[in-house]
Amino acid sequence: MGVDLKPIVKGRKINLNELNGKIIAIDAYNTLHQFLSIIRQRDGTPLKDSMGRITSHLSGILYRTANLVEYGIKPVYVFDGKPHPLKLKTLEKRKELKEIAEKEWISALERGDMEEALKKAKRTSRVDAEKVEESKKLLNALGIPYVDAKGEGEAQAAFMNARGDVDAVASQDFDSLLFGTPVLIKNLAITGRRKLPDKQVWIEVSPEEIELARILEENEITLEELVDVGILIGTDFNEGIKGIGPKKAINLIKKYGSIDNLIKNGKIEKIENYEEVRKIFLQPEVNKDYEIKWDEVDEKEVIDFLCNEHQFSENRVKNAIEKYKKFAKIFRQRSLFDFK
Amino acid sequence: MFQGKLKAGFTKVLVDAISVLVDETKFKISPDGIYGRTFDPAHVGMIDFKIKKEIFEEYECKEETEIGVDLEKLKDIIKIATNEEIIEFQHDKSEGRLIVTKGNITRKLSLLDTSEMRDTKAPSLDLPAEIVAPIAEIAQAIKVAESFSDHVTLMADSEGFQMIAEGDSDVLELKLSKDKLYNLKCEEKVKSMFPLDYFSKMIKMAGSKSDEITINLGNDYPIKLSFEIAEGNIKIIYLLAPRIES
Repeated sequence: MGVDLKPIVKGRKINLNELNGKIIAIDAYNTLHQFLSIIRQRDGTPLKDSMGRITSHLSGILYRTANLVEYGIKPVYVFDGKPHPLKLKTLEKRKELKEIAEKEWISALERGDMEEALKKAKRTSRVDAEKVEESKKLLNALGIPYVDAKGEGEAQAAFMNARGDVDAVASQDFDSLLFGTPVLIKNLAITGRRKLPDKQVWIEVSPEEIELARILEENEITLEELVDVGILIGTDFNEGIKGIGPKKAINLIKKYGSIDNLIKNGKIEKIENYEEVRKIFLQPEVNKDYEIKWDEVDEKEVIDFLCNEHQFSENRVKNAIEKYKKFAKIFRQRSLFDFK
Repeated sequence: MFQGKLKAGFTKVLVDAISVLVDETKFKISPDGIYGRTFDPAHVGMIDFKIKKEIFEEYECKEETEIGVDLEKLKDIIKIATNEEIIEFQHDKSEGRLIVTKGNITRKLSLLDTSEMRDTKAPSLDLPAEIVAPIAEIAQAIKVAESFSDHVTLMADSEGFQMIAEGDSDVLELKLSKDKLYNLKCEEKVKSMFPLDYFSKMIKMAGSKSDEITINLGNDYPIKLSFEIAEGNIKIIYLLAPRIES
């Protein structure tokens, strides 16, 4: 998912403590997807309530966000708006892959191959409108704000970061950088022990901070050029060129300056819609009218929704609620820099 | 080149006052004395400090220079001295060290790189009320409040000054009417809330060295706490950002 910039983007490992007091926009779609994919039982079954409704996303929001606010991080979730028409192809492909994974999961279960079952199950998670609504309902009760994007959530979050309303954007996708996110944080909501696919190996996942300005400086390119690099490799909005990976793409752009020049010089065939894709990243439509404000946790509402409606353990939920209560002290505290 | 001799007691005041907010700081050494400004990492509190050369036994500084100091290291050597003992300071620029001498003991402490310690402007605040108050009872009231609250609300009007700390069910009040204050300038009622941990440390620090404190207060606005010791030769100003009720 998203553009593969890994070989040219080096992050800095950070400790959650360093983010104390920082406002962080969380790419909601991306994060819910992670929750739905990771928060599962050993055979791959997601968490469900007594009616069989999936609750992995709600569990993720409650406990993982509680972990963040405990570190003094001020989160704001950013939800996707309407997908761009050019993304529909990618979405269609993802849907097909999920259907295949679903079949493979079932057959793995029938074979009794739990390892394979869990692996396949993780690829079947879907963030649908209902899960988005439930997530927003829970965020409201927790007093955690969210912003609705006009289009891509990552574009919205990047805008909020560039405007200075948030200090960083949390997402797993490098697309955020193409949207111009000044500070990207990876692995924020999934920090902790995680199992590597196909192996009985656990690794420690810690957050990583990626500064756009540094990436551009290190690679000696502009944001416009980075977007062209992304388009050559392939993004959610175009397929990219077969045989061109991150390293090759960056060398081509550095040598020729742009996709236009690459085409002029006969180095590549025409890329479909590349001008439109550039526009998606460089001039996205964003929602400029939003409010970021934290509120006291509504304990009764949270318990009613999670414990009564979805059979969460009341004890565990109450423990998490305590963390949100303590968080009130932090978001009510102003900084001296607010008064300049 | 800087070289100076100062009573350990005065050095302690300065180091303790800065330690309320940070573990390391930048001192600016000028021909007139030493001064500086530091914010805590969360930018909730700020200290402005100034110590005039007149209070030094000896003071020599030809041109302004900056040194970055780990306060813990400085505390180590100062705390073995009595208040009246003289501490000698010498800046060894070439080695990047501050040489601190107490009697026959010399501590050479390596200095910190000041290029990372940026100079930040103090916020320009418009604070309508000024209260000059005896500090002892304020410090006592805070001690009591700490057992059940984490925030404190300060209020002033033309009649006096008031401090309220609330817990889940308990309340503490301190009322100082106009006649109990050294000075009160307040036309309209002002009220702001502050985190008790910061406020407490600042007040306790001030209270241990001074009998009175000047409080400048506004509405949902930072507070300015200032006090001086040694006939105004050491001046400390704290700023503290408010906590907003909703």
